[in-house]
Amino acid sequence: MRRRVPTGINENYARELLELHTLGVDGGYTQEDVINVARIFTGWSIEPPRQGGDFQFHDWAHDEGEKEVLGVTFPAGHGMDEGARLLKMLANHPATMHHVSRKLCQRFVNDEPPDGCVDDAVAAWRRSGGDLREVLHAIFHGPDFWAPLNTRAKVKTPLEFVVSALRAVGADPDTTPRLAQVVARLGEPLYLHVAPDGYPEREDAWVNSGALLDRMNAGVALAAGTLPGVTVSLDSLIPATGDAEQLILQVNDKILDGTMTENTKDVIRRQTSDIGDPVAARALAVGLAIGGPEFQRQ
Amino acid sequence: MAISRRVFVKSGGLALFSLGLDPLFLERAAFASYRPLPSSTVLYRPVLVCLFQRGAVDGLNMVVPHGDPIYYRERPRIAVPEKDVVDLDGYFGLHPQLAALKPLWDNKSLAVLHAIGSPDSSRSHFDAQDYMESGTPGLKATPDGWLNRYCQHDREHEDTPFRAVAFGPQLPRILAGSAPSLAIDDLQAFGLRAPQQSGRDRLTRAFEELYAGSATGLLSSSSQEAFEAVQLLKQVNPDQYQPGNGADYPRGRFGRAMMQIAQLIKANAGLQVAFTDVTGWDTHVNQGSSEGQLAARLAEFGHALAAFAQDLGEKMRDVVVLTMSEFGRTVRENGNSGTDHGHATAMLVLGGPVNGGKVLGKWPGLDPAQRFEGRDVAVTTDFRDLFGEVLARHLGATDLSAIFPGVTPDPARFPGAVGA
Repeated sequence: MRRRVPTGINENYARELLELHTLGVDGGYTQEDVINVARIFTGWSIEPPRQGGDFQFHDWAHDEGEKEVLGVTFPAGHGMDEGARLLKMLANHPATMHHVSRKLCQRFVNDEPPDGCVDDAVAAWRRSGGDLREVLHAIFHGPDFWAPLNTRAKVKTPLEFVVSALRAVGADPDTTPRLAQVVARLGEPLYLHVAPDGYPEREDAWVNSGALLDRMNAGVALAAGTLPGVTVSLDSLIPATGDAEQLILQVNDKILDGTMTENTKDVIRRQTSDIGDPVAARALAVGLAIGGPEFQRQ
Repeated sequence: MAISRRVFVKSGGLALFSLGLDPLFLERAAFASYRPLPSSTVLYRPVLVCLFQRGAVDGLNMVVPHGDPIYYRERPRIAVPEKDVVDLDGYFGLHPQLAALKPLWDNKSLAVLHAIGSPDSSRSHFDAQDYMESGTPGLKATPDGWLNRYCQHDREHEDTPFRAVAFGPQLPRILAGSAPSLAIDDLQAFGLRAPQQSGRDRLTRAFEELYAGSATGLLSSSSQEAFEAVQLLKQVNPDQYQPGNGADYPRGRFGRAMMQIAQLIKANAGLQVAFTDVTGWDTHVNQGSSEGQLAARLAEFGHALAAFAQDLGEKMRDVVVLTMSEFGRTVRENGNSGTDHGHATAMLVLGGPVNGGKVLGKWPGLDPAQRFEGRDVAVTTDFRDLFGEVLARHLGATDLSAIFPGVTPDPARFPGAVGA
């Protein structure tokens, strides 16, 4: 049976590959390159998802002509191998090294990664031929990673906030999607980022007035045991006590890892002073700590 | 009863002081310079609502050039058949799922801008959205958005935390910047939650003290804005809202956002600039024609806009709604019965001050010789000329070069969407 050969190409994946996953938007490619990358990937497809969705190459749909990408000629007639060769070429391109290294530094060091850190990562990439362990090693052992300027410089993403809050109080998540809905509510619906570039690593994507209020609410609810999708028992972690100083000491130690400011101690002291019930006072103190400013930083 | 801004600020401020708070926005108001308005315009508070169709809407199937045979030749599977098009002027017509907007065209409060877009030729969603929101095509380093720059430039209105609001979980690029602006996902759920009002107030105060004392950077400024807004919203009382004139908003995030924008406008909460976005326009595959994927998105879009206009009723005389999308799509349909990233698209301008009932802009035609790079609708109107016109003629912006750096403002280039 002869299939109808499709006419026209779909440039979308070609552009995403170059812009987001390899070279970066300033990586020096042209619209002509995008078109030729799309031509190289003609015929790359998948099985119907119900049959497993595995990779398939349809040679009947492949553009048989010669292509040129970034000044490199891809001679006609090499079918699927053209795409494999292109991917290798892109993976080893200097623009890709820089683009991916910068993303890693942004992830682990600072929203605005220092140039030196990126340069170290790129150098490790070159040296090791793209061994990501070596690249990460260079980042973690570089001076920028440990510099005071880059300590607690990054704000937690909603996922990091929820996971770290649960761990801090030793909460036990259930198997329903309710907790994931909490993360979504805070602005990061899991696996549902609209654009194909992944969730951002910049604080301005996560910190705004509405989202901050949502974090405060989530912290209070978690401490009160009313956050959907988890069970919390604070008793073994922070025993209820009528002694405010003891409570503050425990919350600082167990929830904030010793980073609680004097101001936060004062606020908790004042807010719990007229609460007779030690369980309610503990819930408020823990809720304020999780929803407060110290806990929002990585 | 409508109350003037100043009365509102005054009574709102008194209420806040009685709670023992020190509202930051009153401090700002004290520094703002007041220009006395002529008595006839005291109640005229222009509002701009910007809607971003993220993903690049196919302008050619939204506002169809049904008078051009090339349109039908290039789109054998996805063109909207002439019999289905809601004709506007004999050449252009609305997609049938936008029929709800036809009455607004007929009463001259809806104008269409066709062949509008960016002077930058990027076909990347990310870049093009970034440029349309920063207002600086080709420049990635611009730190703020043009709507925020408008707010920085016109300080007169800086007296309420609801002056500039984005409806959605994140503050978009267009409103990012040093002028205070707010992201609200849901008006009803905005604020601290506790069973009783006294508990809410107590929690709010506690967190306000925490953040005022220990937060730094963005955490600090965002939290200040949040607490101001919580206090003000208490008086707006959004829980009791019923849309006016029997308006029926479509279900879903977009309809809800439009309803809440209407709510804030009608509450006289000082809203001047609102923004929300709506996704699902990136129709590479099986776009459909009169029915189908794009049609479903347009149906929701059109119904939400029509409901908004109906809900606001008379109040629409103060409101301009401006739609935008990062670029248009290829004239020719692709191999997957869809369209790929193109260049110019169409935008809608809606509201009382609009010079409606017209398709504005210079139509370049679909002839391959007239197309951009031989494939896409050419851009004949720079989006900054339309946005600038709306800011100048509707909101009264006086220095457009501060809002759109790099462009010499020239009213001669305004497409004529808003009455001068």
